Amino acid sequence: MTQEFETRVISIVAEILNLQKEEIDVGSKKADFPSWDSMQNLNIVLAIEQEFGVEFPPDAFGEITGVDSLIGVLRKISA
Amino acid sequence: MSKILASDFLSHRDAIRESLKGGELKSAIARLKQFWSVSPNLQVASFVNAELGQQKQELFSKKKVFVLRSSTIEPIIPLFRASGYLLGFELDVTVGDFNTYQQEVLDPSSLLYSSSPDYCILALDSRGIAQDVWFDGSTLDESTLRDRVSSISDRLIQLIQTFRNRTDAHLIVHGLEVPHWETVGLQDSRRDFSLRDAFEGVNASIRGFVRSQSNTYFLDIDRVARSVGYDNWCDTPKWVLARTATSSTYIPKIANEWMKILCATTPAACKVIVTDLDNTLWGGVIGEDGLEGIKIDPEYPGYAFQAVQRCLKEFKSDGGLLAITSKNNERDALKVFDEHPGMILKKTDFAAMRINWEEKHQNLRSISEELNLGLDSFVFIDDNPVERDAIRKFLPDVDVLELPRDPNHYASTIRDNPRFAKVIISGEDKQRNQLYIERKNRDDAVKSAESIDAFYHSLNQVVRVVSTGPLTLPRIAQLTQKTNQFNLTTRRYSETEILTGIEQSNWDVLGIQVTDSFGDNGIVGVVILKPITEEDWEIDTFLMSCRVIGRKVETAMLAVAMNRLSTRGCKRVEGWFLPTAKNDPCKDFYELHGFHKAGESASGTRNLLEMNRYVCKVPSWIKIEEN
Repeated sequence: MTQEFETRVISIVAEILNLQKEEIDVGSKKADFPSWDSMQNLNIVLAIEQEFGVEFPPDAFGEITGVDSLIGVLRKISA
Repeated sequence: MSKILASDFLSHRDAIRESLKGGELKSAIARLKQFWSVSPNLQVASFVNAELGQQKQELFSKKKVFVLRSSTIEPIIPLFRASGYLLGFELDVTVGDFNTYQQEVLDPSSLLYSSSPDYCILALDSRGIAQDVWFDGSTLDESTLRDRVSSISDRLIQLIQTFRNRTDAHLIVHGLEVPHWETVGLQDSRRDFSLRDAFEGVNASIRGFVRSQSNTYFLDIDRVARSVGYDNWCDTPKWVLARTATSSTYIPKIANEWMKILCATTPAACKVIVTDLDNTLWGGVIGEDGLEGIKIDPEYPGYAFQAVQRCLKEFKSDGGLLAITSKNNERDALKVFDEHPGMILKKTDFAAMRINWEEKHQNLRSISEELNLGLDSFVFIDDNPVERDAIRKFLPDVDVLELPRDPNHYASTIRDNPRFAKVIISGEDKQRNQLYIERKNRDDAVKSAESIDAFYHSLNQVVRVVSTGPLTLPRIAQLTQKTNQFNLTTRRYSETEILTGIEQSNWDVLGIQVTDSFGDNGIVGVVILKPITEEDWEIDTFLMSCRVIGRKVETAMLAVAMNRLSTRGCKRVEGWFLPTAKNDPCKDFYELHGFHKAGESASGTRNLLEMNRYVCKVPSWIKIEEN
């Protein structure tokens, strides 16, 4: 399940930011990508919500620093 | 196909990318449409926009859209652009600054006007523009609440009016969402003027005003919210946090509603639905289950198929054409129409039928020939994924509707498809079915007439020029928008543009009506003549509906035009033929009527005729009436 979560989240972030698969992995940080601004951050959150059928709680927005924290939030709310 | 996960999509998208590289744009789009129909989400949208954005621009019809807003609507834009690409539009969308919609509309030098958009969307939301009423309205006293309502309505109507005075661009006006909660202790329900009344009141005033304006459309967002349930629709934390009020699951619905209006106001609207029968119009297989075995009634599971039939009936009553292609014994299938009490559609509702054992793509081709309508105006409905895939493969121009597995959702899938949307409904559209059925009789008459000449004589065609006015202008503009085959220049005009041309540039605009022994075809031709000098005129537009192709009506239309020109002192007339993918049927028109080629450009040929060289070739069996 963890593996699948990771693949799906990475694929969403890559698609929204228009990156190649090779350019992004679990360790990628928001700060590494100039295009990952607050609007794209919102788009990423909404895309993940659409894909997994969940709602990000307001607190979670502040916790998003990169791919790993997106996976962390997702794991918490779908637990 | 059920919901597609990000990882599934990942495995398909490389294949789609490959087919795009190989130049197979149409089949890639057909495949993407399938994904889009089950997962219209931001991920798929990003992919569509990135990939199709790299394609040649001339493949898409370009539209500029300006969005005025009071909330964060940015996430809707990629969804809107993606659905645009999949329906043949390249959308250049500008979003106005947050909450500056009033300045944008009121300031004549704002970006809104200087960017001259084709469409403007006034996407205001209740929380954004009437926050005090939304949150605290139920504790305001009633007269204050009434005052607030009328001031909100007045302000919005004023904005719409100002916009309308300044531009002809299409305007989509969002209605307001209505509060969906009851106050503590049912207080709101006990009031003479409730919070609910307040918002419904604003909506009613705006809707009423919008109806009185041309090119302006009311988008009932509250209806969309109700359809999914308010509790699902609203994501209040996200409104507080990011000023986006609609939950991520349902923002694609807003993009789809925008798309419906966009499609409805362009020639992309679907003209013909071709439907399968077994398990699409009724449950079961008539050849196996028999008349008693098939399901089509108000009970489970037959009601789902009655719902499909009702959708098709709505489409037909709105001027669309219906046709059948089904692998069946014709006699068995027709028996259902004749004898089954549960059938909502009748045989006479269909303009063409192909109930046989031929391949469906061949049937679609022959239906397209019979109705004289291009396959790109067709939508194909079939429960069988194999048949759907075959049509995608053989006839990529046809739009194949991706049906969900469960027949209970067939009807809503049809209703939500933007290509069925229409807003410009002239009386003529509603008559069209009747016209096609009359035409069918006419075609039968061709077969039975001894010679084609005798047939033409028996038609008793009368070609008449109608005066250009409020009653005829909508149809004339509509013909310039929709006619593709017999159209020498394919120039699209709005009513306003034509009116301005007549009033300010001295255009002579002729609407041509044709009647024959089978009935009145209505206005089926348009000629627009423009003066260049006093003695030189240009045929700017010369078009004819496919309803009357092949009956020399064009020759009579030219005679009428030449008559008009000579009374106006014209000595030379010229006209362009601008070839498109569809107007092959009229490519020889000028040559056949004595014009000579006087020039050529990348877009077409210029043809010229001295008025005194004109020889009228109207056959004796067409009568011309001029007033």
